[in-house]
Formats: sequence, C-alpha cells, structure tokens
Amino acid sequence: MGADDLDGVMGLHVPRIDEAVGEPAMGEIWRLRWDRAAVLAIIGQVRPHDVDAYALVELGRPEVGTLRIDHAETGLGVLDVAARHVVAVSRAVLDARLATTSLGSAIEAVADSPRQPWDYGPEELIEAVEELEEFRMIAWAPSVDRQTEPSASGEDYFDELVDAGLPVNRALAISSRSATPTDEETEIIERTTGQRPAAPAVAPALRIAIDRPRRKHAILRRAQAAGVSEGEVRLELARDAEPALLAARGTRGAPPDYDLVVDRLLEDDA
Amino acid sequence: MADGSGAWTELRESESVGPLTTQLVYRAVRVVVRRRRFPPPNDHGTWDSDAITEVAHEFLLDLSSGGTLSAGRLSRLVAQATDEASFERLVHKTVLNYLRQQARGSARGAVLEQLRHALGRIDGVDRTVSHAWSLEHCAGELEFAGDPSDLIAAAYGVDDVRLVRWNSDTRRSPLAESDSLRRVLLDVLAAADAPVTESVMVEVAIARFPLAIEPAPMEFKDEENAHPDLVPAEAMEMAQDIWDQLSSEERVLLAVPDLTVRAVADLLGVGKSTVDRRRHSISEVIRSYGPALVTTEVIGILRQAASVLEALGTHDPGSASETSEEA
Repeated sequence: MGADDLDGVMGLHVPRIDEAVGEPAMGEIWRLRWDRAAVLAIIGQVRPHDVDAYALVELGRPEVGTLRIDHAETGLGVLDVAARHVVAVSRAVLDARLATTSLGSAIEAVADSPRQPWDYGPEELIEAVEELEEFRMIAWAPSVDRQTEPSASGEDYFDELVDAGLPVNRALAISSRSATPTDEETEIIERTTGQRPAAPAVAPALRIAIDRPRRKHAILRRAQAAGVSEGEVRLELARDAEPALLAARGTRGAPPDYDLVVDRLLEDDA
Repeated sequence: MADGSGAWTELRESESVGPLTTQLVYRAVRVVVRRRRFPPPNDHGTWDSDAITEVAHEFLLDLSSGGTLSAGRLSRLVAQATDEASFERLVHKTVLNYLRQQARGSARGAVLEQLRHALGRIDGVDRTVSHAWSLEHCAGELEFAGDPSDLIAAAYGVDDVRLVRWNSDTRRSPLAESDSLRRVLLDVLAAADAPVTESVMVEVAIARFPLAIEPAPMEFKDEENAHPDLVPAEAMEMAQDIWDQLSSEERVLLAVPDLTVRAVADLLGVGKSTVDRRRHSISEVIRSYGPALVTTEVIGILRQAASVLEALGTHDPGSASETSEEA
C-alpha cells in the first residue's frame, strides 16, 4: 500500500502541547469541550459566567476578516482567527489552555468595531464558525435570579406538590425553583403530575464554582464513569451542594464558600 | 478502532509520526479525494497510489517549512482530539481543508487571468505602474487600503448579474456573463475610489462569485476501479459518512422516503414544516457529495439505516456532528 512509501516522514517529531487549566484570559487559545465534542477557540472578553470565543481554522492564506497566528507563537501550526464572528460560550465548556497569544489587543479592536454580516468566506472558515456555534447552545442549568415566593403558576405547582405528599417546606422550595428535587421526590412528582420537574435555576456563585475550568476533568471523569453527560453531573453537583451550602453558611448569613463545597463533593473521585 | 490502539495514541506516546499515523493520513487522502472529486496533482492524470502518496507526503511533511508547520498541525489535532475516533475525524477534516486550499491556489490564478482580461477591455479603467486597477480620475492616488468587505458589498449591490451556464468538464466557467462582470468591476472600482491591487480584486471576485473557485469536475478513475461505481465497502463508507452528518430526527426520515409529508408528520407527531425542513436538510447533505458518488446502492443502505446501521452500533449519540438544538 502507498502508505509504506511515506518513509521520509516517519519519525517526524510532533511535540506534545502543554495543557493548563486556570482562569481564562483574552488572547488565550483554549480547547472547548462538552462530552465528546471539542473545538479550539481563542478567547475574547471574559465575564463571570461566560466568555467570548472566536473560531480557529487553518486557511492556507489570510482571508478578509481573519487574524493570523504564526506557528512560532504557539507551536500549533499556522492558524487563522474568524475575527468577525464572536460566539459567547459558557465557562463550563472551557477544558484546557493550550497557548497564549499576543492577539489580545487585536481581538479587542475587532470586538469594538462594527459587526459585519457573516455571509462569505472559504467553506472551512464557515464550517469552523458553525462548529463553534454549537457550543453557544450549551447551558446545563437555567440562569438565576428568581424569587423565593412562588409565582402565580408556581402556586398551582406548589399545591400539586403538597397534594403529591411532599412536605410543605420542600414543596415551597421546589416550586420556587430554589431547590432541586431528590431522586425520590422526582419520582413522586413525575408519578403524580405526569411530568418530570424542570431543572431548577442554580445560584450564580454556585454555577461559577462548578464551571471553573480546573474542575472540568474531574467532572468529565465522573460523567464517563457513570455513562452520563457532563450536564447531568453538573446538575447533580448543584443538587448535592444544597444541604452542604446550607450547613456551610457563615454566621449572620454570611455567604458560604462555594468553591470549598464543590471541591469536597468532587474529592471522592480523586 | 478501539481507543488506545491507533494513530492518536501513537502520536501522544511517541511524539513522532509512526506507521499508524501514516496509514491514517494515506487513507484519509484516498477517501477524501474520491468523495469530493478533487482533481489529481498536475503531474498525475489520475488518483493512483503515487498521486495519493504525493499528497499525503506533502500533508505530513510540508516541504516549505521542513516539516515544522506539518508537525505543528499534527500537534494541534492531537491536542484537540478526545479519543481515537475524534482524531480520525479531525484528520479527515484537515485533509479536506488542505485539499480545498490547494485547489483554491490554482483557481486564484485562473480568476486573476479572467479579471485582467475583463478589466483590460473596460473604457475608463487604467492599470497603474504597480499593476493596480483604477478608474481614470483616481489613477494617481494611493492604493485602496480600506476594508475589502466594503468592495465585496459593492459587488453584491449590482443588480441583474447574470452567470453563465457552463458545460465543459475541462475548463473553468467564466466568473459571470461579460456585461455583468463589467458592471460589477466598475462598481467595485467606484466604491474604492482609489487604485485596487490585483490581490484585492481577486479576493473581491472570489467572494462575489464563489462558484468560480470550485475544482473543475472530473470523472473519477483509478487503477483499482475501472468503473466509477462504488464497490460495496465504499458504498457502506459513503453511507456512514452521510449518516454521521444527520441528526437523529433526520435519520428517522430515511426509513420512510415514499410517504407524503402529511403522512410522515402524522406518523412522527410533528408539523409538516418540520418534516419539510428535515427532508431539505437531508437533500442538502446528499447533494454536497454529488450524484455520481451517492449511488442507488448508497441510498439503499441509508434507507435501511434505521434498522441495519442502528443494529451495527454505528450510531454515535455523542458525535460532534449532531446538533443540540432540537428540543
């Protein structure tokens, strides 16, 4: 077979890329991952819950609307940034930092420039943007800020939960989406109402703690061992954290240490 | 191939190209050039083993950099992959992109020749000493340094642009009908209000007429298959590739091709517009390969997909090609 004729390439050194986890910063190249899907992207603006990401692709030659990253800067070959199309992605998908670039200010300049419609370019550039777009949709829990008192529709739900046999305090917490039902409660609710309870909102600080990149690998390990998705593991962590957060709340209502609570929940897997 | 036994593992553990990696790249080149109908290298009349080896060698050992850029590319793919299967998909995708770029390189030359021919015949258009093109009144100005996307927008702003029906299998089609091309070029130069370099004119022309850089179609012949029809193993491979690009909901539709939209909608409990949209999506995927490659045999395999391919365990719910947008 022809592959046997590729003598000249055998033994070509292919360096392993050092990976790091930590807090993301503008201009860094990260592997984004959710379950088994992964893409590379360069980071733009960083916010508490999400980051701006730009697709990376190898184009062969620069195209309109792209920024070039030389191989000498990263060791990743020559890469082009789809600088005209920003995708906001959850911090939960940040897997590992592969390189740091000097493009921070250039990306910031693009972020401040008027947006052009994304309707032309080489196929591989458009495909790279589309692959990154799939990560935009990833959200393992609804966002936050909700009232502790049940809403008008929540009152009906509260009544249903009480009728199903749940204690009043649990029915109140679950109907106001301030607590996650246990497995047993979920079964009861589904049996009596005919519907699985919706995933409750997760407190912002708890989401930030669970979504820290340094916890990604432990979450992935747990998901793979259990044969479930990352999203389910994160929801389970959020649910398991509730009693621990209550117990860890400081005096005079001081907020708990969310990172400490999540670390303890994951340390059994270490 | 089971995890821990392929090219990805070979590269991670040895940090060098070995036999598994070369075999994977060779196989990827062979599959991609057939499916996408890329023309063979200039000094080869067909995609024989030598032609495939030449492209695979260049991909693995970029001669212009002594292999540095190729090594960086492989390092990147290893870092991005999460297992052997994803690494293999990435290599296939990267080989495809590499071949697209090679084809575009030769296509750019053809586009430049068309532009020179067209611009040279337009009254009121001058060619500057630095080989830029300009309207007469601004021929002495500094060259255009603005955003090429503004020129692309001007090109798209021209009404009633007519393309040319082209039947040749050996020559590239013209960018557009001659008068249409003339009007587009004049509007581009007017929008620039400055001399425009040939490289920018080529960029604008390719953006405005993307079909101009599609590889010239060819009949695929190689020394192993005297007839272009796919043999069963390749038909299965083609069907697998198409299958991987479809969502779970689209795959279901393959099993009921002869039912009306209303009947399918009733069967699945969805709206008719949803059925239309999914069927259109399936057609787009199949059309992207071209009718010569998606034979009746491939279609037959796909129509058994709901039972046969599921039973073989080739459906991967965790693959990156699935969308997560279906609620």
